[in-house]
Amino acid sequence: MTEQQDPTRWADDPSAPDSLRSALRAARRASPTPEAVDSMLANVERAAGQPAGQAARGAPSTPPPTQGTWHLGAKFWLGVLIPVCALALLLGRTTPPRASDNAPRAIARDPAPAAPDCAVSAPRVAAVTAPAALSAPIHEAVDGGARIVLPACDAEAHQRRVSSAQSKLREGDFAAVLSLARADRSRCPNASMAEDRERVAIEALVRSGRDAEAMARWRAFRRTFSRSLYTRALEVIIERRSLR
Amino acid sequence: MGESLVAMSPSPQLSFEALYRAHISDVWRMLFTLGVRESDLADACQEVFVIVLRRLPEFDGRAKVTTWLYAIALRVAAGFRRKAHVRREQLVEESPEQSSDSRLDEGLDERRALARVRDALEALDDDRRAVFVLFELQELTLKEIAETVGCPLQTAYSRLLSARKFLAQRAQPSATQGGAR
Repeated sequence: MTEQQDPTRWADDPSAPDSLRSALRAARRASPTPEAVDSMLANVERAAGQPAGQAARGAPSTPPPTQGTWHLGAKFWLGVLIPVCALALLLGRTTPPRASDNAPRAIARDPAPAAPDCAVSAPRVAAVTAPAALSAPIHEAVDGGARIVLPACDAEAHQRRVSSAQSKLREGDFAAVLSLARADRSRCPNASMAEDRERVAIEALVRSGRDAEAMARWRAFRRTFSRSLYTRALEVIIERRSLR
Repeated sequence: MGESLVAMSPSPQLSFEALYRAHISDVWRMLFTLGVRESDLADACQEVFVIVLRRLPEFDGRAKVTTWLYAIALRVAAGFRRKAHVRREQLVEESPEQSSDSRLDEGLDERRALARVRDALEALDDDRRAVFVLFELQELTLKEIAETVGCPLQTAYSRLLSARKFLAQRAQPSATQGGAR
Protein backbone atom coordinates (compact mmCIF):
# COMPACT_ATOMS: atom_id res chain seq x y z
CA MET A 1 0.00 0.00 0.00
CA THR A 2 1.34 3.41 -0.84
CA GLU A 3 0.96 6.75 0.77
CA GLN A 4 -1.65 7.76 -1.81
CA GLN A 5 -3.89 4.98 -0.66
CA ASP A 6 -4.06 6.31 2.86
CA PRO A 7 -7.55 7.48 3.71
CA THR A 8 -8.26 11.18 4.06
CA ARG A 9 -7.50 12.37 7.55
CA TRP A 10 -10.54 13.11 9.63
CA ALA A 11 -9.50 16.68 10.23
CA ASP A 12 -9.88 17.24 6.49
CA ASP A 13 -12.80 14.93 5.87
CA PRO A 14 -16.28 16.47 5.89
CA SER A 15 -17.81 13.07 6.46
CA ALA A 16 -15.98 12.64 9.79
CA PRO A 17 -17.90 13.33 13.01
CA ASP A 18 -18.05 17.10 13.42
CA SER A 19 -16.98 17.17 17.02
CA LEU A 20 -13.86 15.13 16.40
CA ARG A 21 -13.02 16.83 13.14
CA SER A 22 -12.88 20.27 14.69
CA ALA A 23 -11.14 18.99 17.82
CA LEU A 24 -8.49 17.24 15.75
CA ARG A 25 -7.85 20.36 13.72
CA ALA A 26 -7.36 22.52 16.77
CA ALA A 27 -5.49 19.83 18.67
CA ARG A 28 -2.80 19.67 15.99
CA ARG A 29 -1.83 23.19 16.97
CA ALA A 30 -1.64 22.50 20.71
CA SER A 31 1.82 22.78 22.18
CA PRO A 32 3.52 23.26 25.51
CA THR A 33 4.37 26.79 26.57
CA PRO A 34 7.80 28.13 25.50
CA GLU A 35 8.83 28.16 29.18
CA ALA A 36 7.91 24.51 29.51
CA VAL A 37 9.85 23.69 26.35
CA ASP A 38 12.98 25.39 27.67
CA SER A 39 12.58 23.92 31.11
CA MET A 40 12.22 20.40 29.77
CA LEU A 41 15.24 20.82 27.53
CA ALA A 42 17.35 21.98 30.46
CA ASN A 43 16.19 19.00 32.50
CA VAL A 44 16.88 16.56 29.71
CA GLU A 45 20.40 17.85 29.26
CA ARG A 46 21.00 17.86 32.98
CA ALA A 47 19.66 14.33 33.38
CA ALA A 48 21.51 12.93 30.39
CA GLY A 49 24.69 14.88 30.99
CA GLN A 50 25.22 13.52 34.46
CA PRO A 51 26.56 10.12 35.34
CA ALA A 52 23.84 7.52 35.29
CA GLY A 53 23.74 7.43 39.07
CA GLN A 54 22.76 11.07 39.22
CA ALA A 55 20.53 11.33 36.19
CA ALA A 56 17.31 10.69 38.04
CA ARG A 57 18.15 13.30 40.65
CA GLY A 58 19.05 15.81 37.98
CA ALA A 59 15.47 15.96 36.82
CA PRO A 60 13.28 17.75 39.31
CA SER A 61 10.44 15.32 39.24
CA THR A 62 9.65 11.69 38.83
CA PRO A 63 11.57 9.72 36.28
CA PRO A 64 9.49 6.77 35.13
CA PRO A 65 10.53 3.19 35.55
CA THR A 66 11.36 2.75 31.89
CA GLN A 67 13.85 0.35 30.48
CA GLY A 68 16.90 2.50 31.10
CA THR A 69 16.45 3.15 34.78
CA TRP A 70 15.06 -0.27 35.41
CA HIS A 71 18.08 -1.74 33.72
CA LEU A 72 20.36 0.14 36.07
CA GLY A 73 18.18 -0.73 39.02
CA ALA A 74 18.26 -4.40 38.16
CA LYS A 75 22.03 -4.29 37.84
CA PHE A 76 22.28 -2.65 41.21
CA TRP A 77 19.93 -5.16 42.76
CA LEU A 78 21.86 -8.10 41.41
CA GLY A 79 25.30 -6.66 41.79
CA VAL A 80 25.12 -4.99 45.16
CA LEU A 81 22.17 -5.98 47.28
CA ILE A 82 22.49 -9.72 46.87
CA PRO A 83 26.13 -9.69 47.97
CA VAL A 84 25.17 -7.36 50.83
CA CYS A 85 22.44 -9.70 51.99
CA ALA A 86 24.71 -12.69 51.66
CA LEU A 87 27.40 -10.92 53.65
CA ALA A 88 24.90 -9.93 56.31
CA LEU A 89 23.69 -13.50 56.62
CA LEU A 90 27.23 -14.73 56.88
CA LEU A 91 27.92 -12.31 59.64
CA GLY A 92 24.76 -13.35 61.41
CA ARG A 93 23.05 -10.06 60.84
CA THR A 94 19.73 -9.42 59.19
CA THR A 95 18.99 -6.73 56.71
CA PRO A 96 16.19 -4.30 57.53
CA PRO A 97 12.98 -5.98 56.42
CA ARG A 98 11.36 -2.88 54.96
CA ALA A 99 14.43 -2.11 52.93
CA SER A 100 14.54 -5.48 51.30
CA ASP A 101 10.83 -5.36 50.55
CA ASN A 102 11.20 -2.14 48.70
CA ALA A 103 14.63 -2.36 47.29
CA PRO A 104 13.86 -2.62 43.59
CA ARG A 105 11.66 0.45 43.60
CA ALA A 106 14.14 2.50 45.55
CA ILE A 107 16.95 1.36 43.34
CA ALA A 108 15.18 2.30 40.16
CA ARG A 109 15.05 5.84 41.44
CA ASP A 110 18.61 5.84 42.63
CA PRO A 111 20.70 3.86 40.22
CA ALA A 112 23.97 2.17 40.79
CA PRO A 113 26.97 3.98 42.13
CA ALA A 114 30.08 3.74 40.00
CA ALA A 115 31.89 1.56 42.48
CA PRO A 116 29.62 -0.58 44.62
CA ASP A 117 30.46 -0.22 48.23
CA CYS A 118 28.71 -2.44 50.71
CA ALA A 119 29.23 -0.14 53.62
CA VAL A 120 27.57 2.74 51.81
CA SER A 121 24.93 1.14 49.67
CA ALA A 122 23.09 -0.94 52.23
CA PRO A 123 22.21 1.86 54.64
CA ARG A 124 21.37 4.13 51.73
CA VAL A 125 18.61 1.88 50.50
CA ALA A 126 17.30 1.54 54.01
CA ALA A 127 17.26 5.28 54.42
CA VAL A 128 15.35 5.87 51.20
CA THR A 129 12.61 3.44 52.09
CA ALA A 130 12.55 4.05 55.81
CA PRO A 131 9.12 4.37 57.38
CA ALA A 132 10.17 7.74 58.73
CA ALA A 133 9.58 9.11 55.25
CA LEU A 134 5.88 8.45 55.76
CA SER A 135 5.53 11.52 57.86
CA ALA A 136 7.80 13.72 55.76
CA PRO A 137 6.17 16.66 54.04
CA ILE A 138 5.89 16.12 50.34
CA HIS A 139 8.48 18.68 49.33
CA GLU A 140 11.01 17.30 51.73
CA ALA A 141 10.56 13.85 50.39
CA VAL A 142 11.20 15.13 46.89
CA ASP A 143 14.03 17.49 47.69
CA GLY A 144 15.74 14.86 49.74
CA GLY A 145 16.17 12.60 46.76
CA ALA A 146 13.95 10.74 44.38
CA ARG A 147 10.20 10.63 44.84
CA ILE A 148 9.15 7.53 46.59
CA VAL A 149 5.95 5.56 46.34
CA LEU A 150 5.67 4.19 49.78
CA PRO A 151 4.53 0.65 50.37
CA ALA A 152 1.86 1.69 52.85
CA CYS A 153 0.04 3.58 50.13
CA ASP A 154 -2.87 1.73 48.60
CA ALA A 155 -3.11 3.21 45.11
CA GLU A 156 -6.82 2.65 44.73
CA ALA A 157 -7.63 4.10 48.13
CA HIS A 158 -5.37 7.04 47.28
CA GLN A 159 -7.29 7.70 44.07
CA ARG A 160 -10.61 7.36 45.85
CA ARG A 161 -9.58 9.85 48.52
CA VAL A 162 -8.38 12.39 45.99
CA SER A 163 -11.47 11.94 43.83
CA SER A 164 -13.66 12.39 46.91
CA ALA A 165 -11.74 15.50 47.83
CA GLN A 166 -12.37 16.88 44.34
CA SER A 167 -16.09 16.15 44.71
CA LYS A 168 -16.21 17.74 48.13
CA LEU A 169 -14.50 20.81 46.76
CA ARG A 170 -17.17 21.15 44.10
CA GLU A 171 -19.80 20.80 46.82
CA GLY A 172 -18.10 23.48 48.88
CA ASP A 173 -17.37 21.18 51.81
CA PHE A 174 -13.88 22.51 52.50
CA ALA A 175 -13.47 20.83 55.87
CA ALA A 176 -14.03 17.46 54.25
CA VAL A 177 -11.56 18.31 51.48
CA LEU A 178 -8.88 19.17 53.98
CA SER A 179 -9.58 16.13 56.09
CA LEU A 180 -9.28 13.85 53.08
CA ALA A 181 -6.15 15.64 51.89
CA ARG A 182 -4.55 15.32 55.31
CA ALA A 183 -5.34 11.63 55.53
CA ASP A 184 -4.05 11.02 52.04
CA ARG A 185 -0.91 13.03 52.52
CA SER A 186 0.05 11.05 55.57
CA ARG A 187 -0.44 7.73 53.76
CA CYS A 188 0.57 8.56 50.22
CA PRO A 189 2.70 11.70 50.27
CA ASN A 190 4.06 11.26 46.76
CA ALA A 191 1.64 8.96 45.01
CA SER A 192 0.30 9.42 41.52
CA MET A 193 -2.38 11.98 42.36
CA ALA A 194 -0.40 13.94 44.94
CA GLU A 195 -0.40 16.97 42.68
CA ASP A 196 -4.17 16.82 42.30
CA ARG A 197 -4.58 16.43 46.04
CA GLU A 198 -2.39 19.42 46.80
CA ARG A 199 -4.25 21.49 44.26
CA VAL A 200 -7.66 20.84 45.84
CA ALA A 201 -6.26 21.34 49.32
CA ILE A 202 -4.87 24.75 48.40
CA GLU A 203 -8.10 25.79 46.79
CA ALA A 204 -10.04 24.62 49.84
CA LEU A 205 -7.74 26.58 52.15
CA VAL A 206 -8.11 29.72 50.05
CA ARG A 207 -11.84 29.44 49.81
CA SER A 208 -12.22 28.80 53.51
CA GLY A 209 -10.18 31.91 54.29
CA ARG A 210 -7.16 30.17 55.81
CA ASP A 211 -4.78 32.40 53.94
CA ALA A 212 -1.56 31.76 55.81
CA GLU A 213 -1.89 28.00 55.49
CA ALA A 214 -2.90 28.37 51.87
CA MET A 215 0.19 30.42 51.09
CA ALA A 216 2.50 27.99 52.88
CA ARG A 217 1.02 25.07 51.01
CA TRP A 218 1.09 27.00 47.75
CA ARG A 219 4.79 27.71 48.16
CA ALA A 220 5.45 24.03 48.81
CA PHE A 221 3.36 23.14 45.78
CA ARG A 222 5.39 25.43 43.54
CA ARG A 223 8.64 23.95 44.79
CA THR A 224 7.47 20.41 44.34
CA PHE A 225 5.47 20.69 41.12
CA SER A 226 7.35 23.47 39.44
CA ARG A 227 5.92 22.74 36.01
CA SER A 228 2.40 21.90 37.05
CA LEU A 229 -0.45 22.74 34.73
CA TYR A 230 -2.38 23.74 37.85
CA THR A 231 0.03 26.51 38.66
CA ARG A 232 -1.66 29.14 36.56
CA ALA A 233 -5.12 28.34 37.83
CA LEU A 234 -3.94 28.40 41.43
CA GLU A 235 -2.21 31.71 40.89
CA VAL A 236 -5.47 33.17 39.66
CA ILE A 237 -7.35 31.83 42.67
CA ILE A 238 -4.78 33.21 45.06
CA GLU A 239 -4.61 36.57 43.32
CA ARG A 240 -8.36 36.88 43.48
CA ARG A 241 -8.31 36.14 47.16
CA SER A 242 -5.64 38.72 47.85
CA LEU A 243 -7.64 41.39 45.98
CA ARG A 244 -10.61 40.97 48.28
CA MET B 1 13.10 18.20 8.62
CA GLY B 2 14.44 16.47 11.71
CA GLU B 3 15.98 13.76 9.56
CA SER B 4 18.28 16.10 7.74
CA LEU B 5 19.23 17.92 10.92
CA VAL B 6 20.59 14.76 12.40
CA ALA B 7 22.25 13.63 9.26
CA MET B 8 23.88 16.96 8.53
CA SER B 9 25.16 17.94 11.89
CA PRO B 10 28.49 16.52 12.95
CA SER B 11 27.78 17.38 16.57
CA PRO B 12 25.28 15.24 18.45
CA GLN B 13 24.68 18.09 20.88
CA LEU B 14 23.69 20.54 18.18
CA SER B 15 21.56 18.08 16.34
CA PHE B 16 19.87 17.04 19.54
CA GLU B 17 18.67 20.53 20.37
CA ALA B 18 17.41 21.02 16.84
CA LEU B 19 15.68 17.69 16.98
CA TYR B 20 14.19 18.51 20.36
CA ARG B 21 12.83 21.86 19.27
CA ALA B 22 11.48 20.45 16.04
CA HIS B 23 9.59 17.66 17.71
CA ILE B 24 8.84 18.51 21.32
CA SER B 25 5.32 19.68 20.54
CA ASP B 26 4.59 16.55 18.54
CA VAL B 27 5.84 14.34 21.34
CA TRP B 28 3.96 16.35 23.95
CA ARG B 29 0.66 16.05 22.04
CA MET B 30 1.25 12.42 21.34
CA LEU B 31 1.98 11.50 24.94
CA PHE B 32 -1.05 13.39 26.14
CA THR B 33 -3.44 11.78 23.68
CA LEU B 34 -1.94 8.39 24.42
CA GLY B 35 -3.10 8.76 28.00
CA VAL B 36 -0.17 10.11 29.99
CA ARG B 37 -1.55 12.09 32.89
CA GLU B 38 -1.17 15.84 32.71
CA SER B 39 0.86 15.87 35.86
CA ASP B 40 3.28 13.37 34.33
CA LEU B 41 3.45 14.97 30.91
CA ALA B 42 6.63 16.99 31.39
CA ASP B 43 8.37 14.02 32.95
CA ALA B 44 7.28 11.78 30.11
CA CYS B 45 8.52 14.26 27.50
CA GLN B 46 11.82 14.51 29.31
CA GLU B 47 12.10 10.75 29.46
CA VAL B 48 11.57 10.46 25.72
CA PHE B 49 14.27 12.98 24.96
CA VAL B 50 16.70 11.62 27.51
CA ILE B 51 16.45 8.31 25.67
CA VAL B 52 16.78 10.12 22.34
CA LEU B 53 19.84 11.99 23.52
CA ARG B 54 21.49 8.85 24.78
CA ARG B 55 20.71 6.84 21.69
CA LEU B 56 21.26 9.51 19.10
CA PRO B 57 24.78 8.34 18.27
CA GLU B 58 23.33 4.90 17.48
CA PHE B 59 20.72 6.30 15.13
CA ASP B 60 21.76 5.09 11.71
CA GLY B 61 19.33 7.12 9.63
CA ARG B 62 17.75 4.13 7.98
CA ALA B 63 14.39 4.93 9.54
CA LYS B 64 12.91 8.39 9.62
CA VAL B 65 13.63 10.31 12.78
CA THR B 66 9.93 10.67 13.44
CA THR B 67 9.41 6.93 13.20
CA TRP B 68 12.22 6.35 15.65
CA LEU B 69 11.14 9.14 17.97
CA TYR B 70 7.50 8.14 18.04
CA ALA B 71 8.39 4.53 18.71
CA ILE B 72 10.27 5.70 21.80
CA ALA B 73 7.34 7.90 22.79
CA LEU B 74 4.93 4.99 22.46
CA ARG B 75 6.99 2.90 24.87
CA VAL B 76 7.39 5.75 27.33
CA ALA B 77 3.66 6.47 27.22
CA ALA B 78 2.90 2.83 27.96
CA GLY B 79 5.28 2.94 30.93
CA PHE B 80 3.68 6.06 32.33
CA ARG B 81 0.19 4.70 31.91
CA ARG B 82 1.13 1.60 33.82
CA LYS B 83 2.69 3.72 36.50
CA ALA B 84 -0.25 6.02 36.90
CA HIS B 85 -2.71 3.15 37.36
CA VAL B 86 -5.40 5.53 36.26
CA ARG B 87 -6.52 4.78 32.77
CA ARG B 88 -9.42 7.14 32.87
CA GLU B 89 -8.33 10.39 34.28
CA GLN B 90 -10.91 13.02 34.87
CA LEU B 91 -9.72 15.39 32.31
CA VAL B 92 -8.38 18.02 34.23
CA GLU B 93 -10.06 18.42 35.55
CA GLU B 94 -11.66 21.21 33.92
CA SER B 95 -12.02 22.54 37.43
CA PRO B 96 -8.97 24.79 37.38
CA GLU B 97 -10.01 26.22 34.08
CA GLN B 98 -13.65 26.55 35.01
CA SER B 99 -12.90 28.05 38.34
CA SER B 100 -10.56 30.65 36.98
CA ASP B 101 -10.53 33.42 34.45
CA SER B 102 -11.00 32.91 30.76
CA ARG B 103 -7.79 34.83 30.14
CA LEU B 104 -5.83 31.91 31.47
CA ASP B 105 -3.52 30.99 28.72
CA GLU B 106 -2.74 31.43 25.12
CA GLY B 107 -3.37 28.20 23.34
CA LEU B 108 -6.00 27.15 25.80
CA ASP B 109 -8.55 26.42 23.08
CA GLU B 110 -6.08 24.12 21.40
CA ARG B 111 -5.32 22.39 24.66
CA ARG B 112 -8.99 21.94 25.34
CA ALA B 113 -9.40 20.50 21.87
CA LEU B 114 -6.55 18.17 22.61
CA ALA B 115 -8.26 17.17 25.83
CA ARG B 116 -11.47 16.46 23.91
CA VAL B 117 -9.58 14.24 21.51
CA ARG B 118 -7.96 12.44 24.36
CA ASP B 119 -11.28 12.07 26.12
CA ALA B 120 -12.75 10.50 23.02
CA LEU B 121 -9.86 8.05 22.80
CA GLU B 122 -10.03 6.87 26.38
CA ALA B 123 -12.18 3.88 25.57
CA LEU B 124 -9.95 2.68 22.75
CA ASP B 125 -7.44 -0.08 23.36
CA ASP B 126 -3.77 0.83 23.16
CA ASP B 127 -3.12 -0.59 19.70
CA ARG B 128 -5.94 1.19 17.93
CA ARG B 129 -5.36 4.32 19.93
CA ALA B 130 -1.71 4.51 18.90
CA VAL B 131 -2.52 4.08 15.21
CA PHE B 132 -5.30 6.66 15.38
CA VAL B 133 -3.11 9.23 17.14
CA LEU B 134 -0.20 8.70 14.78
CA PHE B 135 -2.39 9.00 11.71
CA GLU B 136 -4.90 11.67 12.63
CA LEU B 137 -2.87 13.86 14.92
CA GLN B 138 0.76 13.24 14.05
CA GLU B 139 -0.09 12.86 10.37
CA LEU B 140 2.17 9.93 9.68
CA THR B 141 1.42 7.74 6.70
CA LEU B 142 0.16 4.26 7.38
CA LYS B 143 3.45 2.87 6.13
CA GLU B 144 5.34 4.94 8.68
CA ILE B 145 2.87 3.94 11.36
CA ALA B 146 3.39 0.28 10.57
CA GLU B 147 7.13 0.79 11.02
CA THR B 148 6.66 2.76 14.21
CA VAL B 149 4.39 0.33 15.98
CA GLY B 150 6.03 -2.70 14.41
CA CYS B 151 3.06 -4.26 12.68
CA PRO B 152 2.19 -5.12 9.07
CA LEU B 153 0.79 -2.31 6.96
CA GLN B 154 -2.55 -4.05 6.59
CA THR B 155 -2.82 -4.33 10.38
CA ALA B 156 -2.18 -0.63 10.78
CA TYR B 157 -4.85 0.06 8.20
CA SER B 158 -7.43 -2.16 9.86
CA ARG B 159 -6.64 -0.72 13.29
CA LEU B 160 -7.25 2.76 11.95
CA LEU B 161 -10.55 1.79 10.35
CA SER B 162 -11.63 -0.01 13.46
CA ALA B 163 -10.73 2.95 15.67
CA ARG B 164 -12.62 5.30 13.38
CA LYS B 165 -15.67 3.10 13.35
CA PHE B 166 -15.63 2.87 17.12
CA LEU B 167 -15.22 6.61 17.57
CA ALA B 168 -17.83 7.46 14.98
CA GLN B 169 -20.33 5.23 16.73
CA ARG B 170 -19.59 6.88 20.05
CA ALA B 171 -19.73 10.35 18.56
CA GLN B 172 -23.21 9.86 17.12
CA PRO B 173 -25.24 9.65 20.35
CA SER B 174 -23.35 12.53 21.91
CA ALA B 175 -23.94 14.65 18.81
CA THR B 176 -27.67 14.25 19.22
CA GLN B 177 -27.26 14.60 22.99
CA GLY B 178 -29.66 12.29 24.66
CA GLY B 179 -31.18 11.01 21.48
CA ALA B 180 -32.35 7.46 21.14
CA ARG B 181 -29.58 4.93 20.91
